[in-house]
Amino acid sequence: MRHCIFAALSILSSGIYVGAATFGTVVPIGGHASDLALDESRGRLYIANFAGRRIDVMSTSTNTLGTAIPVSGTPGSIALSPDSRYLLVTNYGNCEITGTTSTPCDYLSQPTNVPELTVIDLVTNVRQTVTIPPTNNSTVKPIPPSIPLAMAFGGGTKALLVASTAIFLVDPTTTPPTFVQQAAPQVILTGAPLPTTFGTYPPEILNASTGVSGDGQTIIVLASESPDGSCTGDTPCVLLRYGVTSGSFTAIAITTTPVLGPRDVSVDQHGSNFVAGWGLYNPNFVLLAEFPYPTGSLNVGGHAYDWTHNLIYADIPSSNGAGPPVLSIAATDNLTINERINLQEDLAGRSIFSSNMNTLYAISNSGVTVFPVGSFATAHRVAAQQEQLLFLGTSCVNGPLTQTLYVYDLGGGQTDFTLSVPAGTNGITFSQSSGTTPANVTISVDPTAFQGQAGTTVVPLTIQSNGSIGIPNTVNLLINTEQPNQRGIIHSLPGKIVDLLADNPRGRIYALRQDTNQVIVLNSTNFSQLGVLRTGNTPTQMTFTRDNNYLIVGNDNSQIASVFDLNTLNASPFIVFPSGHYPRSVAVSTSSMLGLSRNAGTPPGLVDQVDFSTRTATTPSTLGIFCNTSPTCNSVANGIMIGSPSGATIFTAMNNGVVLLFDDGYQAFEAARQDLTSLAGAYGAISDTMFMAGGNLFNRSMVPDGTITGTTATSTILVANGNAFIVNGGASAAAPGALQEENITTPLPFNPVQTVEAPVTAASLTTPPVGQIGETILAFLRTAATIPSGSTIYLSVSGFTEIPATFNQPIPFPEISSVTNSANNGQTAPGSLITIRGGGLSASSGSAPGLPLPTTLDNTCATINNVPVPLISVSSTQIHAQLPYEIVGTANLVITSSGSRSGPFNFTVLPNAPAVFLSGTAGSLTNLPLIYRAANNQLVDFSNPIHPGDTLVMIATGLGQTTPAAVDGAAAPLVTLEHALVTPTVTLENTNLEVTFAGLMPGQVGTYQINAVVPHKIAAGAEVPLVIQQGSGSNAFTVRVVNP
Amino acid sequence: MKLYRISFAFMLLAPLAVAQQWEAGGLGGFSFNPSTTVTNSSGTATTGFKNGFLVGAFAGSDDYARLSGEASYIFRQSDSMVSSGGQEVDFAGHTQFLDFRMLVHATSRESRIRPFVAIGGGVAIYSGTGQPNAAQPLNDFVALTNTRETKPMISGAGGIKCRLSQHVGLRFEFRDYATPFPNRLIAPVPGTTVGGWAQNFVVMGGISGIF
Repeated sequence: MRHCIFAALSILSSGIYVGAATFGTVVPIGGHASDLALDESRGRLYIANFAGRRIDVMSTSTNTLGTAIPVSGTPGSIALSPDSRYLLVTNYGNCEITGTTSTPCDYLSQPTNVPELTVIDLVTNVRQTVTIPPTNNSTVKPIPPSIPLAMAFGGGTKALLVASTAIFLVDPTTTPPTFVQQAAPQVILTGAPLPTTFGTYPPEILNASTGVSGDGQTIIVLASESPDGSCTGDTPCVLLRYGVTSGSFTAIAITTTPVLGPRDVSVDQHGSNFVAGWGLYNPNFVLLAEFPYPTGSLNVGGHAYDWTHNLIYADIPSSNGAGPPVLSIAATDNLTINERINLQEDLAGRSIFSSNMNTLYAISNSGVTVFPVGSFATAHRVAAQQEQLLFLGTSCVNGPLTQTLYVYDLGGGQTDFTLSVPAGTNGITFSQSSGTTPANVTISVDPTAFQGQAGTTVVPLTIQSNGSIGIPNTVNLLINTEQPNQRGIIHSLPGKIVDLLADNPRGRIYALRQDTNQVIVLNSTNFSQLGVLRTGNTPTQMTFTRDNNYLIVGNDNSQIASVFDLNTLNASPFIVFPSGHYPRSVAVSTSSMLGLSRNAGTPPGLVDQVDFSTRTATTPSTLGIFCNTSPTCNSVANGIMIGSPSGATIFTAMNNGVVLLFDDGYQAFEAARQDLTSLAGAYGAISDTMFMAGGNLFNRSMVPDGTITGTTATSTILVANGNAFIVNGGASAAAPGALQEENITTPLPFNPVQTVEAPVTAASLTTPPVGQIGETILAFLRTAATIPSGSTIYLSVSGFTEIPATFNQPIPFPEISSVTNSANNGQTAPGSLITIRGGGLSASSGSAPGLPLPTTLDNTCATINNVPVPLISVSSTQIHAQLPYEIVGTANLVITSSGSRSGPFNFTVLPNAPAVFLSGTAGSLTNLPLIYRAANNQLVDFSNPIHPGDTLVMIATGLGQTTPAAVDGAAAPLVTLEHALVTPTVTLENTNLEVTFAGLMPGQVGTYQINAVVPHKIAAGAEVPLVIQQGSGSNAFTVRVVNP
Repeated sequence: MKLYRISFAFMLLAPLAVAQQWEAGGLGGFSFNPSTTVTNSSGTATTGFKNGFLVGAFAGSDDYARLSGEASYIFRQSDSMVSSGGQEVDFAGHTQFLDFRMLVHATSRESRIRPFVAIGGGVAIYSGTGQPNAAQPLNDFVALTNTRETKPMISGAGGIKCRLSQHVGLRFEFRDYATPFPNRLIAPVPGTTVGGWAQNFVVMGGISGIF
């Protein structure tokens, strides 16, 4: 009965995991693991069971537990000598100290609990247990015990033992084991006292962890001076670096908020970079990047540095809310989250790789989780190739908009998936809403379902998979139904773009993508991607150096500002800011470089002075007469800096209304005011004497000097040559933008025109953070730039929108003067290739990129009787297109171009109107009908006359509907011929020719072929009438016939 | 087919002559063909036939002292051509001449040297055998055509016969075959005209048997 209940409970609890596979195998140990040691020679993993007072032994071949090794105390840390002979086990034995005397830890009736080290000879099974000696240089009496906190073997024969009062090198080969106290560094560390409260775990008690580099030459230790493991000013944490061969120690004390957890250290192969807690450090303890939203929990999470695959596996719980445990696959340079993997349970401390790096053993809540990381590349991880899909509708297209989504398994397998959009979403259908990878899923959007939206509607598409261990990213479906009165061309650029800079001399655009820690380099002519520059974590703002040779990027989750050489598009040495400073914004004047940094302490924001030559920054205690480092200073981190165009000044704006001006000539912060209670929005240094933040203008004394008409704190504003280019968003992101250009000194009443898409704002960019993907949307954004073509681009919902310089000029209405077939400018029939003539038909010229023909080309589209017209090419005076097959009789043509719509143009479409193309050339002869003699595949003309018995091949349009029915704009099939529904007759001087084929040319659109055989007896003549007759339509020529 | 019918007619006529002397032989020579001018809106061109070698045969009878008659067949290699502005286009072809003529000799039948003049008529069969080319150069003047065109022909000649022995004769002569211009073979494009006669001057010699 009890078994039945247990089984039922198991099924119910396992239901939690139905719907997602997980990575790794959990091996419960029955207790709390505190440390691991891998004995590959014996196929064992030793697990220090802290509360269970034993060393659990797990078979690495079966992942099952064997007979445990009992120990007398509380095994806090264990270490295995490199020759796998000695297993060292520390007995934490941290007695709670009362007053100045040490009392035995008399819990659980243990007679003795003193800090001890047990050395187990795994060959002879001889065990030695000795007391860890107290420090030899204590000034405290009685001398406090050396509580063992962490221990590790490097590549040498001695273990590094980090105790509360001293650091020892332990030689396990002697009897008794030898302790050699290290002279430096002098550390006073501590763990939590025992006994402890329920729900307290080993990392919260030991407060320390070690990590060993892959070559065994470096050991990194993370420990705390506080019993609770915190890293505050009075009791900081300690990062200690030990060179195994050199015996050198380097240590720093760091304060962090939150606590530097999980209390775990992972080191790369050669001891260069390492992850401690939530931070990625370089050998100089510079914080290269941090996981953005750590909880600071010591006991939840863990990580491992996989130098063979150049990845970091990290379980860092997010402070944005608890969720299912997730293993983040992060980049080793800036902790960009490449993938997110489902875990069965959270990690809980140290991890250790097998020597071949194929297996990772990690302490987790139940004991140990074993990860087959060597086969991770082939593990099932469903993903979509596209991050977003843009559905661009036009006002003349009623049919569905389609895009293809490629769903695949990063591991290359065939894995299930399902697709869904939020409940209640109408107008979106899938060719398959579920299936198996790989799959091309056609997504169709009915634009009529979104016609109520005049801008871009964002519909999140969720991908789920039961067989995938990876968490697929959401794909945004961006649906835009452009209205005739809207301006601009949308260019898709996925991601969270938070800054935009144009490098016009180089013909480039730099777009700062925050969610992937990248600068995306685009060609400013055709917007193709030229490259990607990897920044620090959570980049926030960019600036050029004065010589325009370098791009500097501030990062909110890195201690560095990234620097890139723009001549080579390579990374240049970064700028190191003071510890605890995160440079969000960097600005350059003629001779100075300043940074506005988020400060881990108080005040929350401060100004740093950058020495670009040494790539370092220092913090002035004051800014002239103004405060800087004082905890009471009224500076905030949510602000920006920008240099004026000539380099004479640097303007600073903070969202609490503070504005500062730095004068480069006098090297002084000459003005600082707080006349406004808040500031946000677009910013700029218009000149050396005029500055703008959120539409507010400031003079050189930082006195508010008016506002730019029509702007708000959410406006996109670009000021150049005294004019402000302004784009305002609508009531929602799905509303269109409102665009106006103003002279800032003589503003006009705000009378905007609509743009196709709303600009991004701080509010629209702010979305619920995902895992450990950083998101720091500053109150100030730069979202517009002018490119060499004279167009202005601004960041918008789908990426960016291009606005031509002539946006505010009236767009001429298309005027249609004639519609003829494209063969001989005669009558038209269903499927005919047609030429539309007129004026203002298209704002620009363009051709269809391929087949099937598009129904919108260069912002121009046409309908006939409300049926979209496939377009071949468009220009201001002519449009070449295909007349839809369903149009017969009275036809009503309407052209829409760049927001302007023509009046209706009526013409008649005959059922059949055969027209041979008059585009042939032969020598100096032009405009010959495309009638070929099959005998020599040459055009029939006077010097290549028709002979008796010839087969003539005529290329025409206008033969009308076909069987099987042809598809508008699509190439005729290559295999199944599409015959003209009405077979034409062909006569030569009243003699009927045998028509052997009349239908669409395979692979062509709207182009027909007629094959006819000339009789063997035929009258000769220099001008013999050749007539093609089909229904009421005909086409006649005179040809030369010879009859030898 | 017409050629065969005409030859057969000559064969039937031959036995009707009395006290006649028969002569038959082969011919060879060279044809000189003056070109004609064709004009269109852009300029002028010359067209016609290229000079060429020829071979042929003849047969006839001397019925009277100074008057005789004979039929001849000539095959001439004669590509059609058009040229203008330094550009010339050729088109492979040949011509067959078939005529019957009366010869008036300056000396009697027994003389070893017999100068003569001749006049006659027949047909010329012009044939184009080249590959048609829609992009034939100079096709704004004439089209050189792969076809066959038969034209009536008059011929005039002058020459000399030399009797080498009782049964062997030698002759040299100059002929002119004149036909209406073959404007299907060399077709003037609409808008141009090529008129008049096509002259075919022939210089040839022959050897014959006399019976």
